[in-house]
Amino acid sequence: MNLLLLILLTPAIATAVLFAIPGQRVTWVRGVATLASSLVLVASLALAWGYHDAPVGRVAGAGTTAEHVYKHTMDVDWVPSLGLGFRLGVDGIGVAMVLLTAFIIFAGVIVSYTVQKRVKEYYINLMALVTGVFGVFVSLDLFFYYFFYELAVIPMFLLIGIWGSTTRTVDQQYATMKLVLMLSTGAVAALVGLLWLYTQGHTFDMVALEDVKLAVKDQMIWFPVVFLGFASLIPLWPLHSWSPAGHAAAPAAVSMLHAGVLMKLGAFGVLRVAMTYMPDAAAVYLPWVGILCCFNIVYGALVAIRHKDLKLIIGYSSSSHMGYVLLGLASITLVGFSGAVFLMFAHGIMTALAFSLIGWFYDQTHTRMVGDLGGLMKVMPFAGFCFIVAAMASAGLPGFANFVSELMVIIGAWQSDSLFTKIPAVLAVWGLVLTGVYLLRAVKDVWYGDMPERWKDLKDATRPIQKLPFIVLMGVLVWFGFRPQPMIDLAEDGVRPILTRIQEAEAAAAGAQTAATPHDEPAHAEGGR
Amino acid sequence: MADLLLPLASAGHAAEVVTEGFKAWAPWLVLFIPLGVAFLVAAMPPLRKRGNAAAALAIAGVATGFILTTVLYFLPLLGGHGATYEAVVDWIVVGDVVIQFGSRLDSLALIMTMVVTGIGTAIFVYALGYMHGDPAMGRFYGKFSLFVFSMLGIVISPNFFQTFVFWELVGVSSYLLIGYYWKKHSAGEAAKKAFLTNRVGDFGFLLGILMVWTAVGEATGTLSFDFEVIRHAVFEEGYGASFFGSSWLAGLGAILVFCGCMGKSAQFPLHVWLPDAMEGPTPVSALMHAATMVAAGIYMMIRCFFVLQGSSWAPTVVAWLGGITAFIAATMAITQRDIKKVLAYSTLSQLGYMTMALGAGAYTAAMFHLTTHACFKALLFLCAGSVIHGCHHEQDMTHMGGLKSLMPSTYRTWMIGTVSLTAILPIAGWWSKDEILGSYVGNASIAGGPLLLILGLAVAGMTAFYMFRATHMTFSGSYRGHHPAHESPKVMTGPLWALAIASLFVGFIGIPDNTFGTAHTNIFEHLLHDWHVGESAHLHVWLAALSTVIAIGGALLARAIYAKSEGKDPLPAKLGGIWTLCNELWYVDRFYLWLVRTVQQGIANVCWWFERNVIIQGAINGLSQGTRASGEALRRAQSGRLGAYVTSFVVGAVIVLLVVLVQLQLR
Repeated sequence: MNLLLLILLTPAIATAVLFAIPGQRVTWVRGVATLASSLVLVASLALAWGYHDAPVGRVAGAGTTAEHVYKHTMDVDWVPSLGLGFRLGVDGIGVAMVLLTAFIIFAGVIVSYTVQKRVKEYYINLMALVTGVFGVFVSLDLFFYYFFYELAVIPMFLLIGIWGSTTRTVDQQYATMKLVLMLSTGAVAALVGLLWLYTQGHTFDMVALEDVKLAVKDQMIWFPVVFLGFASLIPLWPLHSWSPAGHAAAPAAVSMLHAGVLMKLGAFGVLRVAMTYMPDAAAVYLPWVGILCCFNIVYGALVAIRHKDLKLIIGYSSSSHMGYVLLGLASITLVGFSGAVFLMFAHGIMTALAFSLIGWFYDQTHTRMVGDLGGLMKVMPFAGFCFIVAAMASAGLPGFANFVSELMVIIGAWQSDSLFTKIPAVLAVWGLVLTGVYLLRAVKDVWYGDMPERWKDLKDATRPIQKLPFIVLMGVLVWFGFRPQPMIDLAEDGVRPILTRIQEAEAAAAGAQTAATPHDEPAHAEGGR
Repeated sequence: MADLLLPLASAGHAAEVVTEGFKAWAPWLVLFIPLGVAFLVAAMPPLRKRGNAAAALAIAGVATGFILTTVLYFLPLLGGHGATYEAVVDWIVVGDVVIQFGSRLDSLALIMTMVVTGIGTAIFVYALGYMHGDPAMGRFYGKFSLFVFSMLGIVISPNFFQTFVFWELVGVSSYLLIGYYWKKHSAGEAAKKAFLTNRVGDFGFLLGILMVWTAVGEATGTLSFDFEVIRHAVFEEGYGASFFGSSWLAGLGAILVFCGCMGKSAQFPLHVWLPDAMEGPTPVSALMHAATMVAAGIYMMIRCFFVLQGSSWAPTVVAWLGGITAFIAATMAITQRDIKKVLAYSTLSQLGYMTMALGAGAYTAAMFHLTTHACFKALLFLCAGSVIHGCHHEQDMTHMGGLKSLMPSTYRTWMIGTVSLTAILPIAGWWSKDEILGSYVGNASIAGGPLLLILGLAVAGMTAFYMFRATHMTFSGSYRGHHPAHESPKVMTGPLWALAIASLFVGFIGIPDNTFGTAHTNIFEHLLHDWHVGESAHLHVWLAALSTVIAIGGALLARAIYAKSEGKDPLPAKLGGIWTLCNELWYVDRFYLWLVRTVQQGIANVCWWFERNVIIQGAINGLSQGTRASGEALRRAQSGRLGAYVTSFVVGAVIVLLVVLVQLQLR
């Protein structure tokens, strides 16, 4: 059986099975969800482990320098006249993202054992959500790609709307609506772009589309549409404000998936659709993204410094860190691209760890305001240890995957000849300092110092099953922090063809520029850099 | 410029390079044993809960490192069989960017390894007594071992990237250990301050590394972080000139790299974290914030001295920053009442001396002073710890006094340390500090060199003054504490004596060759021959005599004022405004506090205002006002029944499908 189909179907079947289980059988519900997520994790690990030696499935751009290999492919015609089919397949980027999702859903399911309200419906939504996410990462057909994309959004809406919480800082309904509206608006923009792509290639087959040469003039119009559609999900500044609010209102496991995976859907879309199909436009526009992402990095961090609600701090921090991903993409270098994909993985795991821990004590304290907490190390040393690990990883300290990937991004941005990314690289290094400021402040205010008397009965994670998700997530961060090469190889496998296409477009534009006399083609020359 | 580089270029690596066999890989063992200990302590609760077992394991770990390095490398080096041992593997490979990991143990790294593991062993043993009865002793030793691992990683690093990795790890272990008493608010604040100040330094450091990296790429055609490649690029490939076509930028790169040193070795203007770091347990202050970690910056600059040499103006900046640090820190030390704070400012001041040596190009002198300082400053801190332990956690010197008779062992060893630090003939500090001052005699490469020499001499006088002030306040007169003081146990005084003996004799390995007219008395320079550049250290009799007289003068002055003062300090009244200025630390800390609280917070407030009023209120909410109504409707539709949700979901999906299909058909 195709491994990707297994990964995709397992949560889908679990959703169906959960429907059949009576709602009061809470243990069964949890059991099914845990079993499904464990199975998916094992399958994903097998996928990543054997990816290098797996047989080549389909190849885009065969025979060119930008040969793009997909493996574990599956191709079932559905509406042949429209070029519509159920097509699966992954490159290195897809594998990294599938693995990320599998780790997070595994941890998320276990962390959610603390959910008491309408457990069955909760897990049904969680499983539907993750089916959608997996679908996006493994689809090779634009129609299904979009279908799964939307499939992920709807359960998200319900999960935050029903199981979320209103606090002093964030109104739950407001946050839910904002999140869904922003996601949908972005999705619609992307959809229009996808449909345009179809009109150009007359197929939904994403591999075949890669071989369609799009007119540069059209690319220049459509790249921003598709890019912004996906980038609002990353979230690119100034389209980001839905994200921290959404985090703040969401239950723990949903925050984990939201920051850990949903944001990556946006970056994945940018890479897989916008940059792959429109390399000429990418070569022109990406340097400008380098400017925007500075706002993500620095502005996001500064707003995080200003906040007192832990979830908002981590929420703005996510927006700040995704700025590094964008910076890596803007650099148009191999190390920058690979670093960006690696960082998507590392940031996903790290932020899932942080949100699961915040969820752990929020369930007991019902406050996340740093001013109300303090000295919690006394009552929950294990959770405190994990939180410090997450903070250290997030602050980009060595020993964790985030360090390697962030440095790769910075090196890539620095290596690029363009000042458009060299100056942002300097700001990105300063961003590391700012990250330290808000994270250490949070660590100190929550875990160190005097503990208010009312927290003396808080429970630490003591049973193995309670500790397991935290240990798994920390283990992944440390493992890839010490041994980054396997993940880098995966990332490199996926980004190399995309990079080659963009670099060749860049070179072609430069060639055109030097060939043309200044008054012959002024408009085009201005576009190239 | 070229004629400045010429003699340096000839100072090539004469040593043979060994890349295979056990001896090449043994440094990995020395490096990873402490990490293994830290991991075991963290992962095994029984070990963590039995403090003594964890301590034994940790001590064994660091002592093994010391013995291995001594037997395998140091003794052969003394016997004249020195070599460079290299074991390097590719860690990260992305296209043409290759990042390596491994060890390169040359004479410089070897001496530093000896310092770290040797003094480390003494302090680890000492901590057994100092931390006695602490319920979290296992945790303490785990973190302490993590530090030794991180520090050794810097020492044996063959490239800038690895140095940066361990640089950050050292920062983490420092953060963890300063905040060891986490229930104390001040400890948490100090840990944060140390970490963030270092982060600011690392901001420059990382940019400096990247600049050097790209410049070396331009000069040699290969991108490399490796120190040897950079050395080659500087001396043979015209790196300084090809630095993006500007030697000015080469200087900027060097200063940015120096920013790393500025943070870690607490040089002005990033010196503010070190005194606060005294919130950590005293053994931590001794090993990390006096002997080794704060010296890492100096060590790193010696290792990449060629980066500094690639520029004409950067050394002057470095020299002056060192001089300023040495001077202002000495003035601050005079006003302190906390015994550990006196030593902390003294450490700053001595690090300033080393930085002065870096600026003057006297790298061997800097390394020599680093080594001797590590011995006697660790000793002084341990003595202070013994005093604190004996006086029941009293650190204020005005509540001590008369300990000379109550704590005889501590007193004697403290005196050895004090005399060594004060640099009175013939103990350790005298030889090494004199080499640094001597490097400024007739040195025309530093703008304002003579002025720096005078500054250095003034600092020598102040050093003697504040050390004997502390000595008299602590040990002379009668005991003023509330609890009866007692001498510390043998497990603590033993390491004191070991370090005292080292402080007494370590200076003799660096006697300048001209002292007795016979060559080769300067064993230290001889050991470091493959790192030694420029002229050999030279004994200037007039300078040596002058500095000794100044030091003795300072000591006598302190004696006159404090020997019978019984803890009262007459200086504030006499000095008035100057005292206030020094006691307020020249208002540098206040200025930074203003920067963080007012400026940074102000910018953050502006961002948040923008976020709230422009992005959220203006753009997003404006857009959503219209859709809000439909949101209300949607909410009513949330009947709470799952069936309804699923139906609507399926209907929605079908609609999407239909819309797409219809649109396609229309085409």
